[in-house]
Amino acid sequence: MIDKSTHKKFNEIKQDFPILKRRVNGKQLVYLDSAATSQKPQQVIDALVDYYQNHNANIHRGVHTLGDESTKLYEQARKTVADFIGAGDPEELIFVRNTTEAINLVAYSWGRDNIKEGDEILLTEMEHHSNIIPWQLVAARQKAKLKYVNVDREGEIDLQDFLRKLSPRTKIVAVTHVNNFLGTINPIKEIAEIIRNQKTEIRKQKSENNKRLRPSSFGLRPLFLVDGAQAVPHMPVNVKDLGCDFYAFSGHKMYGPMGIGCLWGKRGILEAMPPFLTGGGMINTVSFKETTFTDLPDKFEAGTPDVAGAVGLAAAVKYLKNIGMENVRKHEMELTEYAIDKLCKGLAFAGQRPGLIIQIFGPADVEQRGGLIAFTVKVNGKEIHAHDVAQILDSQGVAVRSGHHCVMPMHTKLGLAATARVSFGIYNTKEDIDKLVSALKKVPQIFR
Amino acid sequence: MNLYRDLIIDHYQNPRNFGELKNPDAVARETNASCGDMVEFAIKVKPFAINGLRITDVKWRGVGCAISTAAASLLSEKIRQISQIRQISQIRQNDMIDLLGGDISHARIKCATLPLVALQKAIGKLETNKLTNLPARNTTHSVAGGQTNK
Repeated sequence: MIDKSTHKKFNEIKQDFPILKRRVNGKQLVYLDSAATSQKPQQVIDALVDYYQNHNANIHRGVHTLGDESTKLYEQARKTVADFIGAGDPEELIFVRNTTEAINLVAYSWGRDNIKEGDEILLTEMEHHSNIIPWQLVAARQKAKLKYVNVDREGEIDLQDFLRKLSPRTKIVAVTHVNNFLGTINPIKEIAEIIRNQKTEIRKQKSENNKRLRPSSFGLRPLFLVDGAQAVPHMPVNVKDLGCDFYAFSGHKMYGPMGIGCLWGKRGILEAMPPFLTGGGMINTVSFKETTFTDLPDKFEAGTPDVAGAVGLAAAVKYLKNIGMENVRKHEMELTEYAIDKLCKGLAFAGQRPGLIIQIFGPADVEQRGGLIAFTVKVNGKEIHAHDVAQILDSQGVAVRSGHHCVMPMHTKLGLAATARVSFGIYNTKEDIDKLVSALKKVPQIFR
Repeated sequence: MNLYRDLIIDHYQNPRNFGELKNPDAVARETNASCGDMVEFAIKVKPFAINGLRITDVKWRGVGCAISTAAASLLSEKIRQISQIRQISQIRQNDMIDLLGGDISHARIKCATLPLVALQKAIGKLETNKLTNLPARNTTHSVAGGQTNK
């Protein structure tokens, strides 16, 4: 439980977010779509304004004062974010645009060099499209095989199936830390432990005439990439402790600006990888014939980076640190428990209008899930489309997501076309959930 | 609330011309993968004036939200009134919004136009099947199986 003074702090957090003072459709905005993107506190907005008003210049280039300040701010931001996820070495943290770009970086740069014909890429059925499509393309290009670990109806990874599907041919395993549709918190440490004991076979061509790859020896274990987009904003994350090789996340979901995200990777692996994008800012020397590349992290940051974005993200990290990630997690668990209770019991069983049934998805235990709840709505036995539900909620000022949330395969597996989803942030309160519940009661009023 | 006005709720709950059409001249399906909506239009036509075609019967089926369902229902009524293929081919996004009584938010335009895309695809099939001059019913029972993810 959260102590009283922290509770008070959470009640005041809303004040830091200017957008939450807005009215939508004549009603006070209730923002329940933080899994799509979070709102930004004044502190982050101020950091962006301060950067552009006082320090803006390109980094790693000129010798003038502004260039120097800008470079320092950018590298300080890297250190702040690296510390936040327990990275230790800031040079292992690459600034990218978002989680999608981070995963693409690994898939293209590492994947094309290391995944060979007949190799396997192991994902789970609950992955976001951004952790499926890059691998599908790499698999098709390299003639590798994609495998998906089963997810059960409660929304949990079947670890027995994982053990079955992990093979000496598995070159990389890519799993989401917290799923953005079912809310499941995956056992990343356990998975890392299993992977640690798995050896990958190294296969070589027998001869020029025999092009088939044959096992010749056993090499390193498979690599492990974690999609942390829905984890870093909501719970303490320590990449070293998790035991993964790559960790990808976005700034905009953790109260930072849009357009900045991070890839953390182990130095040795990153150093061995070829650059992803190429151009300015990532070279030592360039001649007309060839180029030598700089060291980490610049090697992966071609072109002018989003310096303001990095500075804004660092401000967001400071904001979160000030609250404490343990407190953030506890607060969101309380909200999730309260919401599940209200949605299931409050509406389905003792609802004011019989016939309104809410079905929620994902693990029942809030310890096992992040602060989001996807659900479907039935009125008198007829399912109301998620878009209609979201539109009616919007008319009451309540912002929720509707659709497949970029997790289409898992929706298909559960026989769903679309769901509505509420997701919480540090600024949400139980009062927001009460407003959600009373807004939901409008649905059967419209679809009688 | 304005979007869920009586007209839309009525057509959503009591969709007109809903069902299967026997021996259609063309059938086409359109899906909106991102919301799981699917609409399939089936039409029967006969020659009209010089080089013209007229819709003599229409049925549609599918699954979708209130907006796409009402749009399909309203569109099926509309084409029974105007019936000439040439005029139907000229129906545009704005006409669909008008048909729904106006005021469709940007995010729901796709829902409003999904049935129109399916219908016009069916009409396109008539043309590719060289049916513009004379429908030959026994050769045109193909169903559009492909999914377009727009």
